Amino acid sequence: MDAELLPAARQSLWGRLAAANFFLGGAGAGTYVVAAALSGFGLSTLLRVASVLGPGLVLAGFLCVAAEAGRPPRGLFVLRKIGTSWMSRELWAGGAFVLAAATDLVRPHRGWRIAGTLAALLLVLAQGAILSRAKGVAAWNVSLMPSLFLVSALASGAGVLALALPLLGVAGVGELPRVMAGLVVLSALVWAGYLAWPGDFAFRRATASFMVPSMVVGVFVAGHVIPLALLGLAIEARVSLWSALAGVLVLLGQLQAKAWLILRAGELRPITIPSLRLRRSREQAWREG
Amino acid sequence: MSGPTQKIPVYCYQCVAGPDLLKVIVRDGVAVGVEPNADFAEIHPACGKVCVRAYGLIQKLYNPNRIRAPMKRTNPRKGRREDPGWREISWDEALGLLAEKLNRIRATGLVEETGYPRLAVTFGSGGIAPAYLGTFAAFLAAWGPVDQGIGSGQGVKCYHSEHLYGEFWHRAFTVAADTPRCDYVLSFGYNGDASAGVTGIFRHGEARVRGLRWMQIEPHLSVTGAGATEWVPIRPKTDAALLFGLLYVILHETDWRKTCDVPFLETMTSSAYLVAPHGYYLRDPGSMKPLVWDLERERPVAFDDPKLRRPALEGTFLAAGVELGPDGERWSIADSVRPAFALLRDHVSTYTPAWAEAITDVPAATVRRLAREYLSHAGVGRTIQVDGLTLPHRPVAVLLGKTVSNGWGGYECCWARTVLAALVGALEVPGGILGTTVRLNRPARNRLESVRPGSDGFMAQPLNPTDRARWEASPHIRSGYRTLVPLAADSPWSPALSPAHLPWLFLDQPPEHWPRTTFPEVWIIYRTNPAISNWETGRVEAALERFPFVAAFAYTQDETNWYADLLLPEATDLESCQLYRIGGTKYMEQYWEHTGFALRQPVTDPPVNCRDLTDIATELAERCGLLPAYLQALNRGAGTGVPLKRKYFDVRDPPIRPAAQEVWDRVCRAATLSLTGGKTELGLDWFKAHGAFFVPFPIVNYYLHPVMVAQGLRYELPYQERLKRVGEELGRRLHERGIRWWDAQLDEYRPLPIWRDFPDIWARVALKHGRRPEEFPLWLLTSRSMQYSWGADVSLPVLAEVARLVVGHFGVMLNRRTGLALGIQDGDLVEIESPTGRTKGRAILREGVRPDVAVALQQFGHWATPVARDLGMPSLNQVSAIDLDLTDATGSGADLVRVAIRKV
Amino acid sequence: MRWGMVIDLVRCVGCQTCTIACKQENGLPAGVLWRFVADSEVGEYPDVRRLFLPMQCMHCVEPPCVPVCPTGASQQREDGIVWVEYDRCVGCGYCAMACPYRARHLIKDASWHFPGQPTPAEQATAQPARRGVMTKCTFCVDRVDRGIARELRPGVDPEATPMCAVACIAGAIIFGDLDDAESPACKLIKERGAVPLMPELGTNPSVYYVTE
Repeated sequence: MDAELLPAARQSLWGRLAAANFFLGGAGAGTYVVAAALSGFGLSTLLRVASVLGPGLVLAGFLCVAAEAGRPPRGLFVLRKIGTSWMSRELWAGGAFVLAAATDLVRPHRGWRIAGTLAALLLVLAQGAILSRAKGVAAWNVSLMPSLFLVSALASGAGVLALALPLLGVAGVGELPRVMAGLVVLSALVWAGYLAWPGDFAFRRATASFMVPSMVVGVFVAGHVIPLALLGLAIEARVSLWSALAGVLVLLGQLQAKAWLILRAGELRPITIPSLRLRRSREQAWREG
Repeated sequence: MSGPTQKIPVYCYQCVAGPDLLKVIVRDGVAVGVEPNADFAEIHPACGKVCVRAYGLIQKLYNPNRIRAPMKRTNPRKGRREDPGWREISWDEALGLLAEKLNRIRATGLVEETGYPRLAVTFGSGGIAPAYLGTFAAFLAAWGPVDQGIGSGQGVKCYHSEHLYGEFWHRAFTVAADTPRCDYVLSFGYNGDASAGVTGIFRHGEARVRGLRWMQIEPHLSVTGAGATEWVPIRPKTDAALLFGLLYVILHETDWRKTCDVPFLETMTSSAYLVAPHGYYLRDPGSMKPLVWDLERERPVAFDDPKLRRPALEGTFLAAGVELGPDGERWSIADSVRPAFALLRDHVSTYTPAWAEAITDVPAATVRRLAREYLSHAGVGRTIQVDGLTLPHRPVAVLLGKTVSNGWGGYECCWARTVLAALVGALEVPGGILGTTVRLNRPARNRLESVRPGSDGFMAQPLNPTDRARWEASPHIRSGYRTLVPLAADSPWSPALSPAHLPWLFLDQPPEHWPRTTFPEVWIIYRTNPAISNWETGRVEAALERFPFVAAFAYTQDETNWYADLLLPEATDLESCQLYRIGGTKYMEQYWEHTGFALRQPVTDPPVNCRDLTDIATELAERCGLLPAYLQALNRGAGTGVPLKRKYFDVRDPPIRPAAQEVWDRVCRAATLSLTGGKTELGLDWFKAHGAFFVPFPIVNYYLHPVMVAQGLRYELPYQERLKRVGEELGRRLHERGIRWWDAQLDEYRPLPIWRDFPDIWARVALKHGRRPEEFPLWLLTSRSMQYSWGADVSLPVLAEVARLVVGHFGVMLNRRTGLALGIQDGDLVEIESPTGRTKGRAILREGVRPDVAVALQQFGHWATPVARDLGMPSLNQVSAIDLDLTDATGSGADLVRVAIRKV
Repeated sequence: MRWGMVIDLVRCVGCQTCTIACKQENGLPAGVLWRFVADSEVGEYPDVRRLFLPMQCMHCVEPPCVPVCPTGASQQREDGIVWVEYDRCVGCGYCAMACPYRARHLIKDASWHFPGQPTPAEQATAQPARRGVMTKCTFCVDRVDRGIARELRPGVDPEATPMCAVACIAGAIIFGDLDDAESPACKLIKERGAVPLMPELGTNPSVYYVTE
């Protein structure tokens, strides 16, 4: 077995602001995608709400991450390497999404909505791909990451809509609770799948920190099980308050999960070397067994 | 000095394993970096490299926390909570103030009624101070009696027993393996990869790659242990038992006639000397020469009888002669006598591997294996060509580290190690153990020349006399080494190798019939911080408050100069000028194929108002009316190590005060003339441009063997007849004065040392303080840090930054399971309590530590030194006791203490 | 031509001379180390091995830090040296997450070793272009390039060799051309069985370690 010479160490460059970007970007893009899908890419109040909220959240995420960068004024340099870097692609997709959604508000057209939806999907996939290409961080460096981010984003987006619509006094859309319930189930499956992912030793150790009551209760019980129950009530009773509450819990659950992923599971992988010989005297070996 | 980039050659001697050569990179007048001096890559044994601390020199130069000008204390009260109230003064005022105090001493008498000098001077930094002191030693030579033994630290913390016994047995102030030619090392805590400098580390690395087997026997896995072939954990302070066990295996479990180097034992040691009933050699009544038993003629003959072919090493013989006891006592003997070697075999007959295992925790099988591997690698009978000379080749060495080679048990370990070498002829021959330099014998610059015939076929020894007529009944300095420690000799280095902690101990409660320690009227200190580096630092600090006048050469504020009256910022490493001897053989593992001189020179304008120590010394000499004597001292070579051939200073009255540059120009010229037999004369300007000058130094000069053979001399091993006599005489002298408090130390003077329960000496300290030994279940040890040792490094942030990477800095290391059993997690704040003190630090849980051991690196506990005071390091010195019971016969102690550790 | 290093762990004693020499050569501010020597332990008492492991940029043949860089600041030269074009870097830190060897360092602000203002040496060696951007070991590319321009041999002539190798007191760091089978570095890899760190990650590092 390889010898571990340096234990895993918490990464310190990407902090809460980076985690916020991964959450806000996902939630913003997810909001738009869910709204567009529920609206069949047609004009709707729901989509108008999403066209404001979605890009707003995404931009807020970008502002967060820009604040964390060493040279924020050079932010647009990030667009340069679309051919190779998922971070470039994230910014392009984010920019395209914001542009499409904004244009749709000014000059409504189905094409902008489809483009915005595609850009939003690309944005969340890019965010997942950013992490999955990070070879230095075992917990991120898995192929599941884009799927995880996609599902998380859609669930979050549904949560945003469920919360926002009653607050804005917009009549609820009948399908939202059902769709949201489906996305929450999918989210639970994909997060559980991530935790059960057959990664290497470093991956397993980095993700083991999830298995504490606060995480399990926060992410799975409060972030998935209880929202599902609330959504059941909402569907049954057609009370948007239950959906809104479910939305809050889903968002908190996804936020907690992503914050954990970036800040806690985000460990620089241990440094190992192949086949290192230990040194032990024969007598000691015999005595110690 | 402005302009484009310059590279200025200097030397670094910030530890005893130097000097090493480097260049300082100066850009537009600012020193910006250092680099190895590649000009000497072919000459320097480690290709001209310098270690991590040389790279700290730039920060040392520009440290904003430096004392920026001479300072005078304005607060007459001294105490940790008393702000000294420093007031900046001019150099004129500062030196005027010091000279006034000194001239008052000259007016009232250099020595007080007690016999102690009124002026005391303490140099810290081990053996490196002379490389930075300029001509200050010439000032002291001109002055007269000076007490250089107060708290100098070296009796407290060094390879003390090794220094004293090493010089005694084989002119080895420090002992090294002949690493390039060695195949097997038994290292008892020797931490050369942290302490032996670039030359030592380079040699070790080369040897490891070559296949050298290095067995590291120590309680915690040190930096050196990391590179070892094997780590053998051993219970602290039990090394002597393991060494005795090795002797047992060789002498009783192998056929020593086949495994040992019998010719070496017969001709190069005193193994064959017959020992008579009183324990002294049987001697020829006429010549008083020791006798050996001639197996061919079956009668005793003088050890140097030219017809002697087969001396007996074992057996019992009936013989007549005389024994020479203490104080000239003689006994006529006609009785059974035995060769010393036979007594040695008997002596170790109870030290079996099983016995050693019970004491050391090292399995008996390991003891046997180590002994047999040592023998199998020794290659008895093999030879090697060195410089065209055929010499024995014995590629085995036993090395000792700190706490092994000092304090109680130090004598036993040093003796057993040297006997192990002698048994296989691995003493002072290629591959074996070698001395490096001499400090107690003279001449210091060449240890081979220090070999002169003495009595009984041995080398002449410069021991302090113990006979009734010449013994020094009243100590001439406060540490009393000439009175108490015959082995300390009386060279300029002896005060520093004296029991330097006794002055603190005897301050208010002198033992019976011993003069009370008085405070010197003036104490000048240079690069020494006994408030940190001595044991029981609280006691030392309390004493510091009471010194009437302390003038401190000061780099930054520190814990000792906090109590000073005058701070003198001398020019430091890259600001002052000095020529220093380099190469040949010296300390640790400095083995060169060249010898010569290197220059240290100012590389830029000093950033503070400091002054070159040579200029300070010259001015002080003038202000004290000592200029002629000072110049005469310089002419003799005092302080510079180079007599001024041809270029003498004119000492006519009134002499002209020479500037530092002029002094060193003359020294440069004299040095090159002496090196080249008068052929080459190079001045200061040449050295400034080139850095160093060398001539070849033959490898054969590493070894004492050819010189010993040429002079027909033997090593005084294994039987310590002379020490037995010296100890007996010393005991009589002390008892005649009514002194009984040194009796435990007198017991060390045994001709064949025995195992005593050394760990118990430390355990019993608890009882003296009303505590139970069981309350302190752990050993606290210290270990060498390469990044932090001497040179004011503690105040440099860049060294803290890199030292942090070497585990053990800034905390106390514990075995992981011990820590967890005590409820301590990695990083927890813990309190370390001993019977005499407490200290705190962060726990560092490691696997490479015995479960009964804790380790705190180096010496810390700073509260005044900038940067260092923020490091939060626990320090052994805060919890170890200054105690006569912990002081061995050579006046040294060891760095370890029994402690309890608990989470805060 | 592929510059690389072989680090002999049998020689290394963890003295940190390479660490501090690198810091000086590259004018790195307080708290930033482009290389360091880790003090590692493997095993449990008493069967434990302490090992000093110099860590630095591995100048991988397949450097994961280069393709992820969104600005193109992170680049690799023909000779294998991976470097950062400071003027293009936004300091996003992505390359640090992509690097499995912890070799990338963001220099946030000017930070001096002593509180307050820089020492004259720090002032003289400060590198404002590095503030806010990702930095890393460059194999002392300036020394190498200047040396080659003067027809010196990197790995042999000190002035053309990375400072860590020049400074190493144990002779543990050998720099050379890994494409040249006759170079001391290549020979060492072959003769002593040197291995890279974490080869399973597919980065193909240009730094090899001798462990026995």
